Amino acid sequence: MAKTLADQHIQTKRRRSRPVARRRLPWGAWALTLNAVVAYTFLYAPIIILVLFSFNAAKFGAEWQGFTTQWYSDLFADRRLQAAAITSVQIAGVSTVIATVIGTLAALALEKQGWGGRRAFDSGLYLPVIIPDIVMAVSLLGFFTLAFRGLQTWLGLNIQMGLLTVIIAHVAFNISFVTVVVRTSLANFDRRLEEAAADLGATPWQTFWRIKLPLIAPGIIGGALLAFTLSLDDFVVTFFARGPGLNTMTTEVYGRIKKFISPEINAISTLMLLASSSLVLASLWMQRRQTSS
Amino acid sequence: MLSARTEHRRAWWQASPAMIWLGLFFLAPLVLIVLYSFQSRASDGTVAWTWTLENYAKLLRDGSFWRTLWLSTWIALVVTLITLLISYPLAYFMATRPKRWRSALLFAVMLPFWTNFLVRIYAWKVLLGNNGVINQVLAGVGLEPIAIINSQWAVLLALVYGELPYMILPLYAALERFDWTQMEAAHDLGAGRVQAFTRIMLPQTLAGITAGAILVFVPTVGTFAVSDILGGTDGFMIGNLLDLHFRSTPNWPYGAAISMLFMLLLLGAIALYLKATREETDGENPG
Amino acid sequence: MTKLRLSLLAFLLIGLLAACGEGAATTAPTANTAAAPTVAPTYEVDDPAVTDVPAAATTAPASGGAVDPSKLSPELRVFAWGEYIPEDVPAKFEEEFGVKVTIDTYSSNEEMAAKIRAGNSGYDLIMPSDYMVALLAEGGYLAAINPANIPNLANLNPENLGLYYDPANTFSVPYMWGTTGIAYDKTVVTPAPDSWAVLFDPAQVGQYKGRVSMLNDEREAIGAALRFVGNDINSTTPADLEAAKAALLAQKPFLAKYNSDNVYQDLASGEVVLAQSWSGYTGLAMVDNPNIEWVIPKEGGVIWQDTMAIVSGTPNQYTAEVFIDFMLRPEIGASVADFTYFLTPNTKAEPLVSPELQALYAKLVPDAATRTRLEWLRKGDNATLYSDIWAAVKSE
Repeated sequence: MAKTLADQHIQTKRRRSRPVARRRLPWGAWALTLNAVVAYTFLYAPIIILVLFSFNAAKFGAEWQGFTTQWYSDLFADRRLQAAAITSVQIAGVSTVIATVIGTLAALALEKQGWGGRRAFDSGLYLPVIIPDIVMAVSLLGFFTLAFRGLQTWLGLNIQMGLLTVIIAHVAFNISFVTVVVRTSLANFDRRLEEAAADLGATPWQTFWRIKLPLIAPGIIGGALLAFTLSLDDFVVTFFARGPGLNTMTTEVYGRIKKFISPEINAISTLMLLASSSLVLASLWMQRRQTSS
Repeated sequence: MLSARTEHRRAWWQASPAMIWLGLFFLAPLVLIVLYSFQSRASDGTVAWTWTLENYAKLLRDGSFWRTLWLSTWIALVVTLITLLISYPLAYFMATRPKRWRSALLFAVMLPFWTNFLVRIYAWKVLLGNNGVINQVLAGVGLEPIAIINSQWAVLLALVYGELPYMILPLYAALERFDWTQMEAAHDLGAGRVQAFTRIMLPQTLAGITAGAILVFVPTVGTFAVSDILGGTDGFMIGNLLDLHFRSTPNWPYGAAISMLFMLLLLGAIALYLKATREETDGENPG
Repeated sequence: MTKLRLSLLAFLLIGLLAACGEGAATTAPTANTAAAPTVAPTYEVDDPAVTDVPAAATTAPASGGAVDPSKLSPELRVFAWGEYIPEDVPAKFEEEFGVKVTIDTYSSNEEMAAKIRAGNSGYDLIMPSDYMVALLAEGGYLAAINPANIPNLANLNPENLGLYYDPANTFSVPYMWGTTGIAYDKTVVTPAPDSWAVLFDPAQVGQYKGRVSMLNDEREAIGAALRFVGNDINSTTPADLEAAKAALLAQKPFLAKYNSDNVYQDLASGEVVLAQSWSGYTGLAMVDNPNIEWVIPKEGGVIWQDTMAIVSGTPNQYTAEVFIDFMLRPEIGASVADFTYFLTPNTKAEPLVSPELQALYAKLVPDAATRTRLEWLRKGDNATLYSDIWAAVKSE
């Protein structure tokens, strides 16, 4: 706490334009800091409990029964969970690639003004963002069931829901998110560069690949990363659109929470947390080195 | 430059993959749900494909549907409000730190969320259980145990926890862009703190509040997993009702009617909310 | 809409920071997978039934000799009750026959039936309970089983065959059987209950508010309520069902949840002290918590049998039959009993069952007097009747 206050002090000196109120009303600053401390505690307490309990010898319940690393060794031997993790990454990977291509094209189309269906397309594209997951999930269940039934009746094809239907569903909810992100980098793109390239004799195709694409690439990568994340974290749509034998990390963990809670779940979340936080810290550190040099 | 015609043709070409994909796998399923909602149910629980209005008639009479809808709405509103009350000062706090602190604070908000979404719900089950961590601690210091697991309160708490970052982020984005010298100017012109906040800061960060509110409200009102795992018999929400009719005690036509009505009410509410906030902003900053 | 979009943009830009981290973070499990193959498969060691009883184990696989490998499919998809097939069974079957077995789970007959009736489920083998066998067979969803491919049918107790739901066992082979009654923690629930009233009478159940659960199963929950109000457990009379519904609604405020998934864990850990439960769940809880007791209420409980059945139209019928035969091997049957704590219809598996489970037989196997209080759930003429009441109770 003392450190934070000291820090504020320095900061107030450094930036004279920062909130005036704080100088006059120290209780405001206190309240802000207190709120922050409470909020961060709230955010971290459950996570810390999870990490602690991944080393708890108790099979269930919240009692501490001694230290163990058994759940971690169980984890490394758990083929079902590993298969689920691989499936998750496969689905996220494939759906991200497809959604990124389609979403980027859609953003390029929306950049052009005045064509017929633009307005409808523009607002329709955002529907998947505001429609609750569960509604989308049950509608896809109804759709695939009927479609496959039709295929069987008329064409004799016996197709089931599975990897393909989950990928299709993930692409469907990811396109909009990719488009939104790519549009922001398109908005910052200076169209005069395109004109200049054209004046210098570049074909539209060359202009796109050599000028435009490299400049909007960060937006595309950002959109792809967002899509990948959303796909990995999705539970409801996967749960309803999956088929026999298909489990992603989320559906597998759901099944385990419902069926048999094993501290293995704590172990795997600890590992995920460790991996992500070290990556984040590494990137922060690199960022800092870049800015300081 | 290219002619407008070529541009338009190219736009159509570029939009078509998204149109086709979303048309087939987003719009068509929704249209199908509309069709399902006008079908009747066969005696074995499957869809009978005979047209009827009975599902909607039943829905309007179905008290438990309206109660479930009310519970979902109530929970979602409270969650949105609580996350807003925690997040605004927190985003303010974050945005007023020195730059190098800010990204660290932002990452610290996100970090707990790099665990699996269901794992975070599970953490609350461990914490709130009748013999959970909190009750063990309470018993340890000789206090009465709390009994909120398997109730709407557990759902509410876990939802606040789960949705907090989605409120913090847009608010932080809005406050980060905010020009703080305006507050100083307002102060110099004799405005009090409250006045400066309500007249200057709030209107300029309203977009962030709107974004946060929608980003929190929509997933919350339609939640299924959180209430399924933590809600017990008490915290039964619309998502669970849909799950019930599509998975456990199948009645797809009725479930479809519920989805339709729910979706229309939700979209209507969002539209009204956006209209209201827009008028608010327009009123504050004419032009 | 513009405002929403603009704000979404702002959010998403920030979200990128997060996305960077999260996208990369989730590769962690994959890294684990890479390390996994160094772990030797441990399933043979895990199973005491196999190692402890060599005599039976060596004779049984002989039946596998008649299997025609050319007729086996590469994959078999099983849709089973949760925690119902021991974890090592798919690996064992794959090792012996080269068939990959995937297992998905369900928590109620109705949930399973919904998927099967919707068509194109992709499942080859399902595990319906008695009344659901009758319902699915009636609807034409089950394939007639060829007993010639299942020589181990001879291992089954004749008492478990030819029951009302499938008189000639045309469509189903018994898997496990058990009972439905009340499980309770004797240190908390006093006096020892002997009636459904402990779950339905607000004065009694009220004492344990928030620590009580009912099975999340329309037939079981409504059945218990029907017995409590003094009606037939299979009644389809509107008045009877209304009374049952009223009893369920009166009970609901005191319940923690409707749960048929991990009752054993809730009971063992003390999350729940009183529950409508299946006998096997109760047995599992008793192992971890010696205070758990089991009673079939005086008004009557349910006797049931879960089966293995083949979904009609599956191209993998032969493989499914080979799998059924495999599951009927004495040592596998015993391992299922040890895993689930339900009762095996397999006479040859009976002696191989672990001493821990046998020690609980006195409590879990109904004696002759109790047997008279047990009833079967029957297929009704209107399957949606119970569903509608159940949906109404749950959403009330």
